[in-house]
Formats: sequence, C-alpha cells, structure tokens
Amino acid sequence: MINISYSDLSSDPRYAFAVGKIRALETNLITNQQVNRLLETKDANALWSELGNNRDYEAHLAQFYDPQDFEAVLSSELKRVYALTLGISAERTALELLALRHDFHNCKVISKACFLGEDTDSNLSPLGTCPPKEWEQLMVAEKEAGLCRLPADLMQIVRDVQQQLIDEQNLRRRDIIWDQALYQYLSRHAEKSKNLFVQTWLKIRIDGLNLLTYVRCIRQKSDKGLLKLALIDSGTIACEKLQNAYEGGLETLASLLSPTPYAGMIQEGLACYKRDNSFSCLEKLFDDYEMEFLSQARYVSLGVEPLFAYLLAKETEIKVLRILLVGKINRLDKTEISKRVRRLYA
Amino acid sequence: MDWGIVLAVAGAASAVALAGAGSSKGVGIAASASDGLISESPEKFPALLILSALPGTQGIYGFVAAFFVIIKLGFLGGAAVHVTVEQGLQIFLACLPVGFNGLISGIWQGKVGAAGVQVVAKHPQEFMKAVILAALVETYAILGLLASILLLMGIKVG
Repeated sequence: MINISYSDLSSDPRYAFAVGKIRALETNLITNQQVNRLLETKDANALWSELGNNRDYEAHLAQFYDPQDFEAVLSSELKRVYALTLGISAERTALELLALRHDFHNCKVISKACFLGEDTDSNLSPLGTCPPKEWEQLMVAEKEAGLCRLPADLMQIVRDVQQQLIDEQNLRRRDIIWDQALYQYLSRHAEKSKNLFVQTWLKIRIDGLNLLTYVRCIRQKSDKGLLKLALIDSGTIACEKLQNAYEGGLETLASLLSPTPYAGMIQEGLACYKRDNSFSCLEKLFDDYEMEFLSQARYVSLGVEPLFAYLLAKETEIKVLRILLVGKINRLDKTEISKRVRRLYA
Repeated sequence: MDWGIVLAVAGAASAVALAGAGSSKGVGIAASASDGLISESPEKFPALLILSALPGTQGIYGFVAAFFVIIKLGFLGGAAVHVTVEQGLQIFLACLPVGFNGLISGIWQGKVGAAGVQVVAKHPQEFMKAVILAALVETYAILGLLASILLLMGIKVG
C-alpha cells in the first residue's frame, strides 16, 4: 500500500469545523457489515425499506417509494454531499479536483452526442463546477454566456480538444483524447492544491487506469500505438515501462509490478481475470486499493484529507448501492452481486 | 523612568499575553471542531464543552503569574515598591516559562482537543480517554506556571 507519512499529512486549523462535521457525518456512511445485511434482503423493495433506516437516505426515500427510482435518489444524495463538502471546506482547490472530473465527463458526453447525433440529457452530471448546459452552450453554440464563469484555462483545453477531434472518427480514440486532456488538467490542478494526499490519490487513480488499459489492449490485441496513445502520464508507473512490457503480455506486467506497492493486488487481479475472463474483478480490486489508501485520512484531524476521502467514500457507497439495487431489481443471485460490491470506507 | 518596574510589568504583561494567545488559539481550534460535530449531533455538547474548554486554562495560568507579580510590586496595596533594573529583569525572565509554555501548549492542546472531538463523534463512550489525552498537554503548562511562581517567590524586591 502507498502510505503517506504522518508528517506529510495536513494540520490546518481552518478545517477544524469541517472535519468535526465530517466525522459526525461519517457515522451515517454505510458499513461493510450493513452491505452484507442489504445483500441478504429478499428483494429490491426490502432493500429499499432497509435503506430508509439510514439517516442520509431517509429524506430522499420519503419522496420516492419505488426502488425503480433509485437513480434519482442516489444522484440527489451525491449532489447534496458535493454541495455540503464544498460549502464547508476552507479551501476549494482539492475538492474541485473531484468536481472537475464531472465537468470533463459532461464535455465528453456532449462531444459524443454531437458526433453521433444523439440526445445528451440523461447522461449529464450535475456535479461539475459549472452546469452542463453552460458547457453545452460553449461547445455547441461556441459562446460563453452563462452564470457560471468557466475557468479560462479549462475552456481553452476544451476548445483544443474539440479542434483535435475534428478529424477523428474513431470513438475509442476520441474518448482517449478526452481522458488525456482530463488527467493532464487534473494533475496540474492537484499540484496547485499542494496536498500530497490528493496528489498521491490522483497518481493511484492514473496507475489503475493505465493498468486496466494495458490489460484491455492485450485482450483486444490492440497495437502498441494505441496503448501508447491511451496511457496517461503522471502516474507512479512510467508509461515507457508499460509500453516496453507490452509485448510480453500479462506475465511481464506481473513481474514489472512485483517491486511496486501494487504487486499483491495485480497478482490477485490477474489470477481473477484469467479465471473469470472479466475485467470486473480487476476493477473492483483497484477500487478497493484506492479505498484502502483513502482510509489514511482517518488519522487527519485538521486538514482537507477527511473531506476529500468522505466525498470519494460517498461516491463508492453510491456505486455499491447502485450495484445492489440493479442486482436486486434484476433478481440476480446474491453471490453474483457480492462479486461486484466494493470495499467501503466506514 | 523606573526601568526596574518597566521590566517587571513587561514580564507580567507577557505572561498574560503569551499564555492568553495560546489559549485563545487552542480554544478556537477545539471549539470549531466541536461546532462542526454539534451541527450534526447537538446532544454531544456536554462532552464537547470540556474538550473545548481545556486549552483555556493556560490563559488562567498566565493571569495567576501576572497576579503574583502585581502583588510583589505592591500595585494592589497602593504603595509600589522600588525595583532595581536587575530585579525587574529577574521578574521578567521568571514570567517567561508560564508565557511560552502557555502559548505552545495552548495551541497543541487545542489540536489534541479537536482530535478528541472526532473520537467523541464516532465513539462517545470513549470521551474520557480523549479528555485524558488532552490533559496530558496540560502538564507542561502547569510545570511552566510552577516554575514561574517558584522563581517569582525567590526574587526579593523593595
């Protein structure tokens, strides 16, 4: 596990109120034991009423009685948590990093919808730093006239990406160009936050994406050029090393990572991938690894780390609830559902 | 100007100012953390009051030391005693332990108090452990006060 030394964690008294509040809110987070109880429920309705006992969800569930409405409940809960956390944070740079992912997601969705001539509305996220409609206005109508002041550097990146995409007809390559732009921007933003915890989290996230890209490219027998295009710089594993190891397949990847903190996780992940021939186990292990890293925020009593970890913990909680609800609605077996359930923060 | 008195008064003032600054900063940190928790769980206020108030004692210690100086100088009795520059300097230096210990320990006790608030948030039944840990920092503020008082008692004026 990548650990941050105690002396590198924050001690900023400006966060005293925020951390006190977050510690109280953390007691409402769903625990791993509670997930097991939710898994045991007989159907989606039983799970829904069990969820109503949680303080964070009871108000939402009072408005929605049908488990089929889970998307509305989960998205309004996440919206509430984003607004609350950003509202109490003494400084927004670190937390904005998380919101910026949603801005890029919206740009990607709008760009894809324009390219394919589809509707965007259902896939847009309300959690970005600016409302999706304003991005739409900038990208489609090419004008900036909203209430939200879109950051100039971000607008420039979006315009640059749009220029790059003019001649690109391949959907996967278009996604790669957006992802590259996102993570380059996030890396610069993380530097601005001057917070080692946040910077390391981003590196772990990039490593995870790169390793999944590597495995995906091998599975699809893609050429090395595509891998080179898709790998994102600024992780802890150098992209060149991954490119050089590509010819050797998955075994070379395991030996490449054996001296790194990912050794155990990648061994387990690759064994699981070979057994099930599916990425879901590998993705789950990366998410669990990230959560284990985030749990170090428990030792910070004055700093942005607990807020940052809480937001991500809530995102994971909502992802797990979505997995459970979709599984129960579709009457999947509980062992099948539990394979996809992520480790939680609480 | 009587520089002996000036030095002695500066000592008393610095004891109050430094220790008071430490306390106000420490109480500020612990009380802000408590406010955060109270905004979600108001029923935890009694436990949080103790954790928030603990860093306030340093300011009191500074005031006690200053009070000793005031009595020694005879300011309360109406007839101020004569203090040489050497004696004034001794009083000034004697006030420093309580002042600096109060400043540093007050801030750190506030930080430990804020961490204790988070213990109360998750495990209210462990509240006393959080108080004991915060009280450990207090030891050094008390030692500073004791040192200052013993030193002041050893200084002969008038």
